[in-house]
Amino acid sequence: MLLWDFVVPRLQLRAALRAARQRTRRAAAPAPTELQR
Amino acid sequence: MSPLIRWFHQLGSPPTFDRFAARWAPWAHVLGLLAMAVGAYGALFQVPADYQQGDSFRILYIHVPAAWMSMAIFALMAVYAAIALVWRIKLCEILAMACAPTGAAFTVVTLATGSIWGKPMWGTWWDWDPRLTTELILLFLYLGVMGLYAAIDDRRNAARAAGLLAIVGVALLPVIRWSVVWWNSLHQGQTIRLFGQSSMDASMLPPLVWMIVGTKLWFFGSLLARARADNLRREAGKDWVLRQVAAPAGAPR
Repeated sequence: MLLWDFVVPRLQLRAALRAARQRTRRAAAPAPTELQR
Repeated sequence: MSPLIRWFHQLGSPPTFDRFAARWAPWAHVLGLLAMAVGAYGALFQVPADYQQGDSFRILYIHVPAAWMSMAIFALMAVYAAIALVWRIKLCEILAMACAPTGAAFTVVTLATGSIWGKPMWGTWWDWDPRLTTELILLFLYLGVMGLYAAIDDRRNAARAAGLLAIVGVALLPVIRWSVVWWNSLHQGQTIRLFGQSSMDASMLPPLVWMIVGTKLWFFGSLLARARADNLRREAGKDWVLRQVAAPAGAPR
């Protein structure tokens, strides 16, 4: 129960926050140049 | 509008719910664990042994609260699903779907503890008795709701389909509740009543009350934590989520 109801939701939360953070970073990064593309 | 109703409406907004869940989920988990620890101590060390079953009856302090939770959570899930279907409140979809894993876990605990008790008392781990069978069907329904929610890519359609299954599944709850009355069942009848005289001795009840309170709080914490993660996942890309992940830890959001 402890694992299923406490650890799993925390891992899900961390994954959701990590995904949101990556999205923010991608949005803030400068657009790739023609050469990088 | 009364402040309570206004607060309730505000809670339907994803950022407000996120703040609420972030604040209260850890408290609910900690208080739930404490209440269950007090209950477990009372069940193991304070309550006298049963005159017929000896110490093996103590498993009821886990079995009974878990069984009640398995049914109560299903009913709550159906209520959230119905609200989500009628009023299209996104947060109610999230809450309904967050109920299922904890409800399924409580159902597994109910079946497992019943089985562990059944072996020495009935002489068998399992019997296709009406109460046991309907509880097993409840587990399958929980798994069905979880599976359906995971199987459809569009989150809103998935929640709607799984919510419908939850609403239909509610028909099973009265069958579980009265299975021991309607059919000749190996499972014992009702011994603990919320209202009226229980056939269980009063000295055995306080740890049960602690366990019931503890399991409710534990579920509340799990519900908030799961719903918060799903809410953040669904809202990814919205301004409030971006502000939240951009803010340094401890800064006001």
